[in-house]
Amino acid sequence: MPIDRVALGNKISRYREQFSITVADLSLATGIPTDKIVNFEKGSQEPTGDEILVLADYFMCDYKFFVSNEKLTPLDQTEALFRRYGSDLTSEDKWAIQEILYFADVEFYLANILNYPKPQLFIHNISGSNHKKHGKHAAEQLRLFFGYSDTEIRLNLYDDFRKIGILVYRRKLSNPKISGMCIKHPVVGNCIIVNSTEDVYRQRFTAAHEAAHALLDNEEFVVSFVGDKDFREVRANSFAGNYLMPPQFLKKIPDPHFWDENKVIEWANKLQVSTTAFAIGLKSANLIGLGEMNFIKSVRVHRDLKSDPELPPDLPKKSRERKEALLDKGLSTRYLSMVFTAYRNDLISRARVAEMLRVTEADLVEIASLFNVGVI
Amino acid sequence: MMSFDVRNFNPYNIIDSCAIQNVLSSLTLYSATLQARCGFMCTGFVHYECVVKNRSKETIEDNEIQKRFVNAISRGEVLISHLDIEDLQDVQVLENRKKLGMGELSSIAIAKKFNQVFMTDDLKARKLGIAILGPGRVQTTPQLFGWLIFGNFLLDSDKDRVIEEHQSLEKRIPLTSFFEKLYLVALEAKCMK
Repeated sequence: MPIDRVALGNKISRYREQFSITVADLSLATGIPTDKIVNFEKGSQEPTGDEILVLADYFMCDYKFFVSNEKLTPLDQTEALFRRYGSDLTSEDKWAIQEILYFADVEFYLANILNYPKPQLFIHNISGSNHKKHGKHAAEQLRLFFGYSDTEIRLNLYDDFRKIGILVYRRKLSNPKISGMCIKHPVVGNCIIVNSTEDVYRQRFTAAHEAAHALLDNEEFVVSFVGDKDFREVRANSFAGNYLMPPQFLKKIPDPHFWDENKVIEWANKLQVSTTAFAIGLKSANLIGLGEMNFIKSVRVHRDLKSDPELPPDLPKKSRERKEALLDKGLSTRYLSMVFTAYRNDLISRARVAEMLRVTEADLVEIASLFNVGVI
Repeated sequence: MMSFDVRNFNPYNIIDSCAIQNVLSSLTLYSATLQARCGFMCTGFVHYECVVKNRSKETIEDNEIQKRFVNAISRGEVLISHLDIEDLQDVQVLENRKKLGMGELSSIAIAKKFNQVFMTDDLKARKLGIAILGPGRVQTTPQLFGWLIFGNFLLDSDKDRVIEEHQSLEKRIPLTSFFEKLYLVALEAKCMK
């Protein structure tokens, strides 16, 4: 198929500009001479196949995007997102987002070749103008969709969202004001990024909050900032609160007007929510007053008492540190397991495994050993 | 290990990143390949991957192999060949683009285009390479080593030196056991001469 040089050049320049890198920077990183890059972008020269692969590697995208007319990457979405939130996102964060979207593309592909069950279709229609009710109703509907009882607590909610086709990643973002975001990938669907610098319970709430954006807002992307209060954020908070803390469950807590520190910690831990979210949940269910709410919010659950579904408590210290570092990069146990399963089943090569994890083959040996996988 | 006739090794190879690093890890092995008039060609992407691409952790060993690679290119011992965009649009190449590393994929695409042999030390890439190029068109560094022993380009006394040199630069995924195995295969074939 002949290449439309102008369209190709446009894709290259858009990628370069969205990361605010100069032609000289791109040349240095890729080894492609500056004059050639300028000519590619103008459409006056065609890159070689190798240069296409180098650019795809550098920008972390499927090379087919450059050599076809198919919309295979979320370039439109990231371009608009970076333009809109340019001052809130550091260069490091933009690359982190790009890497997560690359992981999402890989995960989608792996789910297909590993014959994972197809996502279930959950459709929720909004009616009325009360945004808090929208969120509450959607949470109830989703719980019903999964067949959960009124009082069942979902501890692994990441899996719930994956079941309905939302890809969830935890990733360290350098701007602490950003709690998370949701981006619509043209091939993969909705991808959620949760800022993993947040407290582990807060991350659960953020994941549910971003899932609400994915389900209820028909937007190409939504970025959530700590303390945002517009109607979509209120709705997403209501969804997250009701999904994590169903009112029927809260009503069964004995003696809801009496709270001391131990009781707050016990119940916040049962629900795996922050004390702030817990206090708001109880207040919304009309179980406590303002004074009790402020007291509950003031209690802190020590980090050591919180459990992370991705980091079992019995992990040896070194393994835990390594897995934490991987999680901060967006490499969840689920993702890594999928990659290594594909490798074990001879579906992908070792070099491809390294690409999928965005590590060198040397780093790969160390990561594989954490998962008891030998690489040859 | 797949069966291999140590007498039949194609000396002209399109070589991927892991194989070129393994060949260059032992200067004894590499000198023997030159003596045996082996020819190596790599793609522009493999060159980028081995020489240009930024690495998070650089080791003394990586830098030494990189230096040897750059010198081999400057002396014309390793040639660089470039793919066309049409080569990337090949249906089989597109179908396998998410199964193979880009260095491997580009090498297979060139090998397919020029009807050449692909050299890799990645077991899964080897299997996928055979599926695309056909049997007999994918080779490995240990097979090269076996062929060099068989052809007396490497002597018995060189075996341990090759392994020692290789292990000193390739600590992560050394090919030692494969070298040992191919050494025995080569000796057996020599006895049958």
